[in-house]
Amino acid sequence: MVLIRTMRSPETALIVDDEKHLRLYLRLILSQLGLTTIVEASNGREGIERYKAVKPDLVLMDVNMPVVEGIEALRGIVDLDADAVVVMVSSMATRQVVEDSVKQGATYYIRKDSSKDEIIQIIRNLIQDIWGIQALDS
Amino acid sequence: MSEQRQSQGSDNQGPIAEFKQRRLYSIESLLEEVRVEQQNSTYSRELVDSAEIKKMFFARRQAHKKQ
Repeated sequence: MVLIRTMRSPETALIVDDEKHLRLYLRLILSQLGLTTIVEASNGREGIERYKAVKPDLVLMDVNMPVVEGIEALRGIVDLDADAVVVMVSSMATRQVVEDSVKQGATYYIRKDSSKDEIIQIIRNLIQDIWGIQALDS
Repeated sequence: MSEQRQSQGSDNQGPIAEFKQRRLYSIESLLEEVRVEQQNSTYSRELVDSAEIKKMFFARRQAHKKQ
């Protein structure tokens, strides 16, 4: 995977999670990092549809969801766009699931039990690696 | 008593012995399957921490660079 895509900063993000409060939490984090357009989906199928419609710069994807699970949705998005930046966010970081995410083309995997600061730092580092720019501090 | 002994003796060779042997084999293979399954599920349930996640993604990135 080529990590440096363009020099423009990421603006749009898609959050796919079946839990509303987590979508809100992740939305606040992304806003803090300077992403301006954030769309949401509550399951994998909806996530793929939103990806097609919006083509977001960054996707945060839950693993365990109804209708279509996160790994399947990841596969669906990567099939649509091999350069998609999909970060898996899950409370269930088992070796098997993380390995599946790596195999299916996820950009990274964040444990939901990480602290807010840690999640911000991980996403900030990804933005720097991929877009070559420094994300906002707050 | 002697009948019992006789019956035990004939069990060592005849169809009953064969049946017992087969059953023993199937129990052993079943136990082996359970052991393998247990190992696999322990492996799949193993939780990984942030440092391990970083290593796994870094390894993939290195593999892509080499290609």
